Amino acid sequence: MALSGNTRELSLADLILVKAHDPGSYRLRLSGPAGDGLLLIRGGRVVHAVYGELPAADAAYLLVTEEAVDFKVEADVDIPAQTVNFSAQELLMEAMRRFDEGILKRPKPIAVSMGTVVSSRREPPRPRSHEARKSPEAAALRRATGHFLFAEPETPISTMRRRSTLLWALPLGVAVVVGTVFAAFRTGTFSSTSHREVVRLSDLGGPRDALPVLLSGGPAIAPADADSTVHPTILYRIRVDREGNVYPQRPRETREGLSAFESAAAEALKAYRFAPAIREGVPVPIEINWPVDFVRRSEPSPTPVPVDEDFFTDPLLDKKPTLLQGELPESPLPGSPRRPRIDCRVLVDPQGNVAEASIAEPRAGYELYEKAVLDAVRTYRFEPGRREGQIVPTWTSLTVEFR
Amino acid sequence: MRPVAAAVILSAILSPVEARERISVRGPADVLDRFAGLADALARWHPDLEVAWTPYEQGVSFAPLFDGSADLLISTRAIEPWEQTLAARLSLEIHEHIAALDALSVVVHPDNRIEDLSLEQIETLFSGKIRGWYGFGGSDHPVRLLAPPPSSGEYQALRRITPGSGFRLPPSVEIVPASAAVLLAVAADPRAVGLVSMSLDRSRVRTMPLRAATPAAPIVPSVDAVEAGAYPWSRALRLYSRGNADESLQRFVACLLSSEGQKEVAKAGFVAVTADRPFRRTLPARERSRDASITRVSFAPGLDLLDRQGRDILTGLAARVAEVWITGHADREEDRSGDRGLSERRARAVEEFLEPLGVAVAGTEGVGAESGDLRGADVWWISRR
Repeated sequence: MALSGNTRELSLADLILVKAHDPGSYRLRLSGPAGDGLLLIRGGRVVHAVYGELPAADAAYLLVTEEAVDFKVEADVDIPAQTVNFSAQELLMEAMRRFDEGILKRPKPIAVSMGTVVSSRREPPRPRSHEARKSPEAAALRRATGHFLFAEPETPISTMRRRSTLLWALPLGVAVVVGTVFAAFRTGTFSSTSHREVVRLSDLGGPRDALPVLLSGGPAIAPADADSTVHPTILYRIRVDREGNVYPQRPRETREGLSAFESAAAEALKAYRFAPAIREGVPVPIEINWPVDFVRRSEPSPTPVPVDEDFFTDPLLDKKPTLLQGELPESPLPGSPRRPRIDCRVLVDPQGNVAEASIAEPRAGYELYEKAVLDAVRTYRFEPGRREGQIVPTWTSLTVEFR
Repeated sequence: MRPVAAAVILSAILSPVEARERISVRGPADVLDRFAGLADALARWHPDLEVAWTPYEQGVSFAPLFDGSADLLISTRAIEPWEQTLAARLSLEIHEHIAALDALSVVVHPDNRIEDLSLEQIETLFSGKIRGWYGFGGSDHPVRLLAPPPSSGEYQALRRITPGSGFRLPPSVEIVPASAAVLLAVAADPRAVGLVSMSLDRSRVRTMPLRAATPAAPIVPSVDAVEAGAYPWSRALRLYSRGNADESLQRFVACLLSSEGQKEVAKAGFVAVTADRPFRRTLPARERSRDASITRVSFAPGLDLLDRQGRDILTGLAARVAEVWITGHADREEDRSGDRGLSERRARAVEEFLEPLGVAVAGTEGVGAESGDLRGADVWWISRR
């Protein structure tokens, strides 16, 4: 069975929500103002999208907010590959956010090459989306342009729609209401105050997922008036947002007499920075537990003061750590041709183990690679550095490539 | 698991005692059993560290940590206020780290028909106020409580269901210190109920879903539910070390808290604190070494009079020591009322004996049965080096 219609009667958003609870595979052939599009839905999740010149996620965001798109739904299709992975809720929420904030990506004006008739026309100036909604003329113009330019001659979607609209719109409309209520009930989206989904650790684990990684942050300073000589650890539930900022939520447990430590822990956590959690290659906000240890105000730096790399100016006097054993990491995205070289700094302890490792210059988009490098170099063994013949903890730098 | 742990302990006992090369780890037997894999991994990562894992059969005691005979304590309970006071009196810096999360599982026989229980009902159950399962709508069987020993993490968890409620086990309750024994007994007896860690194999018993309050949804302990804080009765597995931790112990703890160590912790059935925690948690620095020592004096049941042996011990002590701190104890029977009166009188009896001998008593405290059924008084002192 192939359904077809136009989003003025049934929005794409509602259509996707209906399919959200359907285990089958669907192909939505689309035709909108920005060109032909395609949405693939498998097991209730949107797994691929194309719209005009827009790829994947951007296409999906724009498609569900477009006013007038012709669509045709085919069921039980083969889905060869997956480029995105959204639940209906996620897609709609994110698309709505981008729409509201005006950051939806739109394709560049299409270079028209369909024939002499068409190429002589110029595309009308594109109204801004909220103006478009207000102005029926603009919308109609856009729609008309879209139909004229992009309707496939062999499948006249617009005629099919006129015949079948009323027939299927009614049961589908009922299904939309039921599906929406069901989805809202299941996810609790509409009852919770947050309008964006916060993932949990258990949601991650796929090949393109990454856990949040602490970039900076250390023990908190014990409250000055604490009379106890016991330095507790406060386990906090924290939210790490897309940018890696930390929002302390609440201590996981309350213990008598530790409220001063709890607020000190919350203060310290606010200064922490993380590499955000990644889900399907996209940074997502996450809630995790994080323990905060304490040091006394007067305590010196917890690690022995290491010799900095800059110290080694005279190679005759001292010796840098030399790598004894260590394997290059495997690429975290084996399918990708990217094989970046990552510069990192490691602190080699007197036993030759890596006590600390950090990325010299963290780059956006390389988090997975950087994490793989850090995981790898932490297993490396070195001959420790020497200063005046004595073995000392030493910082050194490494450039790591991928296998 | 147990033969491995036993072998480790045996080798630790037989090997010659070295001054600071060896790390002595103590903890509840159940937890150390689960940590056999972690112990192997740590031995692989740091072959130069010699680690002795020594279990407690009953609960957790902080005494070995305070007197320096243990370098690291793995504990299923948080340090109690009276132990914090003692640490402060002895000027011992104690550092706490959270190594993992765990959940207390309420286990019953598979035939037990009760669907779920609330935390409040658990408290009522273990305080002995419910004699038969019909009290919760179950069978006509009487309830057989398999209670945890005082000073165990399970006991502390029971007392913390309603903080300050003065929870007490019924006087003649059956105390089963080992979780393995609890699981065996519960699997064989439809009347029995016990508390075990979620890390243990519970396939032959039924784990009771718990509700935080009566209208809340019942939840079965699982890794996800504990991580997200949905399961109402979770606890932390803590590490305690002293401020004067040497470099090898610091390395050991850092390794245990690292992402690799946490993987092993998760394999052992616990919930990693955060799934990925690189070698980032900087540990506190070494502090000047200061060792407290403990001398224990016993009393006859119900009495606060020093016997001859006790007087001899204290006389010998007075010749060596200038200042002490005294903690009095009582066992559960003696301290049935919970007023700590007998333990306080015992501490004062020791004080009255020591003061005329020229020993300055910095303070006394009676802690009732909280230290785990000791019938005596501890005299704590700082060795002068």
